[in-house]
Amino acid sequence: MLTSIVQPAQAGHQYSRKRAWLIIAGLTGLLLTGSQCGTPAGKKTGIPDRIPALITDSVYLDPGNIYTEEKRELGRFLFYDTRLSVNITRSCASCHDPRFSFADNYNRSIGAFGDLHQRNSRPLINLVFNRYLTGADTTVYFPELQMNRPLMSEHPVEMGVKGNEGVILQRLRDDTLYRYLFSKAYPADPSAFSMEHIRLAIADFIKTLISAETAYDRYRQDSVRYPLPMAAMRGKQLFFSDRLACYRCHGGINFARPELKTAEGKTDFYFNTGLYNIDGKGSYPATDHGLAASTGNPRDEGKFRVPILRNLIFTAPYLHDGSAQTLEEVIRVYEEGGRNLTRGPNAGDGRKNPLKDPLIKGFVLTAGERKDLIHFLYSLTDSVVLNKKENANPFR
Amino acid sequence: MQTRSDNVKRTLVRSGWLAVFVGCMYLLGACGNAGPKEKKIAGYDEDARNAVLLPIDSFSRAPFIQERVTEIKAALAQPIPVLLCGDSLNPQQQMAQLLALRDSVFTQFLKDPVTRLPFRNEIFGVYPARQSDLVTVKQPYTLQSTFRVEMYNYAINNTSVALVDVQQQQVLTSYYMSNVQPDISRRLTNLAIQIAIESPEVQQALGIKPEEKAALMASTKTALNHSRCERSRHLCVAPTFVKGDKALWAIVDLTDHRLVGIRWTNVGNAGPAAPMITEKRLQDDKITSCFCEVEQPLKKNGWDMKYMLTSSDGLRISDVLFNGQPVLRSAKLVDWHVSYSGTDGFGYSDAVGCPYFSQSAVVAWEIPKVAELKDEAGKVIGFVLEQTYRSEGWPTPCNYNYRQRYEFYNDGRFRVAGASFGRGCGNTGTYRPVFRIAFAGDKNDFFEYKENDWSQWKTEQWQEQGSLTSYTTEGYQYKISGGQQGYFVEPGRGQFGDGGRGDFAFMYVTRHLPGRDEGENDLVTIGPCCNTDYHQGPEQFIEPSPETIQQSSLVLWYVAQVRNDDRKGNEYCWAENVLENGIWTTKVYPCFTGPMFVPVKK
Repeated sequence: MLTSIVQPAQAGHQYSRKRAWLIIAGLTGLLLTGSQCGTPAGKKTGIPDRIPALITDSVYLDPGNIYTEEKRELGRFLFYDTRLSVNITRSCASCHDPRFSFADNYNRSIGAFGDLHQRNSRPLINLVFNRYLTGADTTVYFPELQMNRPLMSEHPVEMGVKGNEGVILQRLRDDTLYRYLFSKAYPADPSAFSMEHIRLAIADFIKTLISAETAYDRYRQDSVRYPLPMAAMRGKQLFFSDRLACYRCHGGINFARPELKTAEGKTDFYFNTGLYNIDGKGSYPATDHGLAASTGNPRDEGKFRVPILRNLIFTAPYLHDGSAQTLEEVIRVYEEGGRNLTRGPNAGDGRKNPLKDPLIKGFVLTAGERKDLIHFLYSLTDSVVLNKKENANPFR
Repeated sequence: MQTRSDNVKRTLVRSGWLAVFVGCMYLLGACGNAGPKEKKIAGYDEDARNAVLLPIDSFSRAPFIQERVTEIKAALAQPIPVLLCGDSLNPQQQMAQLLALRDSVFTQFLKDPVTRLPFRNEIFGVYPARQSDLVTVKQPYTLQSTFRVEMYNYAINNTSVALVDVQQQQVLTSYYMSNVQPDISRRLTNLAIQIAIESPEVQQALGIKPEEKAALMASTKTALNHSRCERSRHLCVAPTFVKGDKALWAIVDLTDHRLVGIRWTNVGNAGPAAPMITEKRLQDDKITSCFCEVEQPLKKNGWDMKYMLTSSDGLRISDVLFNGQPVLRSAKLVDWHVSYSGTDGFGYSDAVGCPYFSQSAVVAWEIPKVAELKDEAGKVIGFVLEQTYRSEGWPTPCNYNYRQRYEFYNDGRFRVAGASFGRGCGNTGTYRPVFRIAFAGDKNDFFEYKENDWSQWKTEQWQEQGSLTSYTTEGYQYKISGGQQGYFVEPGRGQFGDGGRGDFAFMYVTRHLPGRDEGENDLVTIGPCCNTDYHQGPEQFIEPSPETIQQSSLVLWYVAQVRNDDRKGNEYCWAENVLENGIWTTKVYPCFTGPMFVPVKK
C-alpha cells in the first residue's frame, strides 16, 4: 500500500504520498507567493519528510495548516510551557509527558484547577496516522481541531485559556524568546501573537512525534537481521490468530485501525467492549457514555475508539477511563468477553452487555500464552521518539 | 543516685566551659585555621553552589523573610557558620547542639572546600535518643542524657547526625547521609506556612487569604519538577489547603524562601460536611515512654524478637529468631513516598514514627498491637504485630492513615507489610512504601526465578515486578539462602486476602558491612517523593559501583507501588465518611502491600 494523505474535506478519499506532497508543495508555493502579504512561510519541508519510508499507512493532515519547521519549533516551546494555562500550573506536557509516551500515568487526567478529565490521557505519538483523534468524537480529525479542547474546554477546565486569552498572549508577548519564535514562525504577520497561531504551531509539533523504531518495526523491515525474541514471536502468532483475533481491531501502523466496516462500508473505529452494563441494558457510567454522547445514537452507548498499541509499557493505566492498572487486567477483560463488576454504583455484568461488539466473545489463554502476548505487545515499544532531542522540553 | 535536675545543673556548669571552647573555635576560624581539609564532595554541583551564593539577593522583601535572611547572613559570618536550632530547647538539648558542633565528622561540610565560603547549615532538631539510634554505638552511654542532633546542609543537600551523651560530654557517633533531608523544625514549618499564606498566588487561587491553621501537611517534604524542588534538590515542603473537592498545594522552597508553584489536585467527592470522626487519642507520652525509648521483647509461638518505634523509620523489629534460629537482623518501614503527579513530580515524603521525635503530621497513633492470626476455620496460625500512624483529621482530605504490619506464622513464614488507609490529598496518588529488611547471617545468597530456574544475583542490583515477571507455581519470585536455612520471597499479587491488588514492587539487594551505615540507623527521608522509576532511595547504596553479594550479609529493600482509586465500587487506598444508618461511619479501602517469606524446606 502506498503511503497516502487524506484531506479532511474529502474524508475517505486517499491520495498517494507523492501526490499529496505535490498538493502541499503547491499550497506552500501559493502561500510563499503571498508571503509578502503576511501569510506563513518557512522551509519547504513537511511532515512526509519525517515519516520513514517503511511506513505505508495513510497520513491525515489538515491542509489549512501548512507545516513549517519554524512553526514546529515554536510549537515545541509552547507545548512544554505552563504559561499557556491560566494559572501557570499546567502545560500540554502535564498530561502528555514524553516519559509516558506523551500521555500521563493517572487514571483520569486533571486540569489547571484540579478538575477531573472525563478520560484517561492518550499518547500523542503517530497522530497523523489516526483517522480520528479523540476517544469518542467523530468530528475531530486533526490535532489542529483537537487543540481546541485542552485550550478552551470549560467542562472540565483543562488549560483554562477561554476568557483569559488576552492575559496569556500578553505573557508570551512579554517574553523575548517568544517574540523571536513567533516572528520566525509567522514572519511579517502583525497578528502573530494569536491563539489561532498557538494552536497551529502546537499541532505542527505534535504531528511530528513519529514512532517507527520498535523491535517489531525492525523485525518487519528485516526479520532475519532483527528477529523477535521467541516469546514475542509466540505472542505475535496469538495476536494475529483467529482464536484471539486482536488484529481485526488493532491493525495498521498504530495497531488502531480495524479491518471492520460499518453498514455503509466505512471503517468502523468505535467499539463497545463490554466494560460496563449498569442497568442490564448496556448503560455505561453517567460520566462517560462514549460515542453516544456526540452522535446522540443510543446504539453508540459505550463505544470508544480503538486505542493505539504502541508504547503500552509507558502508558498504564489502560482503557478509556484508566480503570485497568495492568495489561494483564486488560487481556483478562477480552478473555472473559467483557468485565463483570460486582460492587459499587457501576456494578453490572459487561459480558452480557447487549450493545457489546460480537467480536468480544472471549477466549481461553494459558498463563504462558498471556505472557507471550504481553511480550509481543512490549515489542511495540519505541523509546527513540520519546528521547529525541528535537521532541524534548526546551526549558530544561 | 543522680537525679535529672542534678544532671541539668551539671550540664549548665559545663556549658560555661563549652562556651569558652566555642569562642576559641570562632577565633581560630577567624584566623582561617579551622574547618576540614579540602576534599571533593560527592553530589556537589553548580546548583548546590547557587543555593548558597545566589538566592539571597532575590529574597522577598517581606519582613518575616528579611528577618530570616538577616539571621542567615549573621550565621554565615561566624567562624562556625551554623544556624542553631530555632525551636525552644532545654539546657541539655542546647548543650547537645554545641557538643555536636565540636565533632569533626558532624562539621565536615560547613564550608566549600575550594573557596572556603560557608555553606548554609542549620540544626533542625535535637531529640532524645532512642536505642534504635544507638545500634552501632559500642561505648557505654546513658540513654536519658543522650540526644540526636540533626543538621541539614542546604548547599549539598545532605544531613549530618550526631548522637551526643551530654552527661559524658561526648559525641558517641556521628555520620552524614547524602541526599537525605531531616524532619524540619517547627519554626521552619511556620515559616513555610507564612510564605504560603502571604503569597498572592495562593490568595488568588483560593479567593481569600487562608488562615495558618488551614495549612495541612506543612512539615512534610515534597518535590516539584522543573523547579529547584525537583528530586528534592532543595528543601521543599507543601502546605496544602483543602477547598471543596480540590486541594491547593503551595510548594514552598525553604532553601530560597519562596513559593515555587501552586498545583491543584482533586481529592474526590468529600460528601456532605461530615463532622470529623473523633477518637480519643492516646497520650503521646505513653507511646513514647513505653515504645520509643526502649526496645520491647516479644516471644510467641516459637518467635523471639525485640521491637520499638523509631523516630522516622516506623516500627522496627530486630534480632528476630524462629525456634532459636536467627532470621532477621532487623526490619523497618523507612518512608512512604506519596506522589500525586508523575509528570509534575509533586507529593510527599512521609517518614512515620514516634510522635515526640519529629514534626511529622502522620505519627504513631496507638501503642503497637499484638493479635492472633487465624485461618478461615478460626484456627490460630500465627500472630501479627501492628502499628497505626495517623494524622488528626483523617479521613478528611489531606489527612493520612498508615498501617504497618508484621505477620509471623507458626510454620515459620513471616510477612513484612504496610497499608495506606487513605485518604490522602488527591485521587491521583501513588503510594510507595520503602521497607528495609536485613537478614541474619553473613553468608547469604540471593536468587531470582526466571526461565524456569533460579538465577543467582552476583552483585548488588534492583528489579521491578511487572507483567512479565516470572514466578514459581507457588508464586515465589526470589529466594534468599544462607547457612542452614533459606526463604522464598512471595511478592504481593492480590493473593493474601487483605484487599491488596498487587505490589508492582522494586526489589533492591544491598550488601551490609559492619561499621558502614547504609540505613542501619534511623534514616530520615530517603529519596524524593515522586520519582516514577527505580530512584526511590535505596539505589544510592548500589550505584555507581555495585558490590558483590555472594556469601554476604544482605539487606533487601522492597518498594511497593500502589495507585489509589476513588471511583465508586473500585476504591483503593481510600477512606471516606458516609452516612450509614443515620450516623457518620468511616469506610476504609486499604491497600496492603509487602512480601511473604516462606521457609525453604530442606
